[in-house]
Amino acid sequence: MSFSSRTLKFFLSIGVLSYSAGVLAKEVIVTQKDKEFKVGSQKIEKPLEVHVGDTIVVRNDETDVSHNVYGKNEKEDTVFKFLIQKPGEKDEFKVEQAGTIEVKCAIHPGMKFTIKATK
Amino acid sequence: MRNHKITLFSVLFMGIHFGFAHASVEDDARRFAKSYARPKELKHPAKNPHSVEKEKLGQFLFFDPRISGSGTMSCGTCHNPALSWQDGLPTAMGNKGEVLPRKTPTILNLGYSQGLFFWDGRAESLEDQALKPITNPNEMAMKDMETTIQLLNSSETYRELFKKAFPENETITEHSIAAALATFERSVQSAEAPFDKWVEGDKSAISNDAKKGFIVFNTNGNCVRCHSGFRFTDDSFHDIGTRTSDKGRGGLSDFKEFEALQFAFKTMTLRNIIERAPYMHNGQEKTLEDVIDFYDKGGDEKRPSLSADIKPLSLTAQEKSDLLEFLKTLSSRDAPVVMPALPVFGKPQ
Repeated sequence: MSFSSRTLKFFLSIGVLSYSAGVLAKEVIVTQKDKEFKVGSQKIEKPLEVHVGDTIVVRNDETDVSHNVYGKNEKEDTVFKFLIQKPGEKDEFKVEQAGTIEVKCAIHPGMKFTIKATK
Repeated sequence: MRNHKITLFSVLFMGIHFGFAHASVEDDARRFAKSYARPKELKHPAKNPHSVEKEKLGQFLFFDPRISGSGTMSCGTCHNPALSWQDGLPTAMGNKGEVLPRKTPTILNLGYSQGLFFWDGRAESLEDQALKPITNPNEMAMKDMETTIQLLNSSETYRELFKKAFPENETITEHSIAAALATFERSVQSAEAPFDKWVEGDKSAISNDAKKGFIVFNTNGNCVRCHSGFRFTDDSFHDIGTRTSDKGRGGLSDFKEFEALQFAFKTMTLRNIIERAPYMHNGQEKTLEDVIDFYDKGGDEKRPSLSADIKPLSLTAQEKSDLLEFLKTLSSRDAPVVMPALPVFGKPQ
């Protein structure tokens, strides 16, 4: 293999990796409706699988119920906490580390789901 | 003759009119009934499955006053089955007779709860909740759980009861005490109330006024916003504007910065509510009429944390009266609770 083709392959690899990372980092929209956390129209029953770098958008789709959402990791450290969300309001946070985050509404204890973040 | 015709016509018309009126109230109320039905089954957690032995042991522990600092206070002292599992006081009484800041909440139907527990929701599960009052210095005031375990171990009967309830355990543990208490608490359920019979389809089980009250409950009264489902609560936490300096859920370290949780307390069940006066976390309302007036005026205190759901309702006197009639239909005639003869304590093992 010539020097130039190796160099080309190296830079191509870097480019592909960078591109992949860019494509993988995505935005996941979680809604709050009928006092449940949902993705699309489905209640989140299983851990929501995401990647480090993804952004989780939490939106209140209720007609007249407010929510107050926060998340803690497995060490019980607070990962994020939003101010109260009235219907129509949304907030977001970026997943910085691999692991699990328990997301809850501090007002409605029936509302909770788990985020499972991998690298 | 003509007058007779008119009279006959009037009577027929009125009969038809009232007949329709009743039918429409029934139909209107029926629209809301479904979500209030009792769940088909009570689910015990996988980590603490039900057994008759565990429930029986839990009942012994629940009514045993000797597992308290003074030896006089059991769980059942405050959660008294003769008073709908409360104590009839505005706020609870402590181990030394002191007045505590919050009312004793009923334990009725907690097995159907999605959590959390206590007025501020500081316990995640009934198992988590069950031990806290035992060592709380203001409540049962046991020195610690080790002392409690030592005391229970001194009874041969208790040792046998624990062995039967937890055959996998060699000794009595904190975990097994909590599991037994929680299992017993899950067995505490209200029986069928007139409202339940109506939900099941018996149109005559509750009065027409009560049906109208149920409609108000689900519409103008806005009560359903939090008092939903079979237990008439979604277990949510709100500042409803009571006269209090108690921060409630907002006093927990996790939630000090959450404005909506300041002065916020758990939504209580409305089952057997007429028997459970006085009302609110601080017992500030003496009667259910007072409670209805409280909500009608939009609470007492207008704070930044006040729930957006608390606002003047402008209910009519008739609507308030109907609401009260409806709330009365939530009371069941529950079977008497048998107090167990407690095991004898001996020397610690």
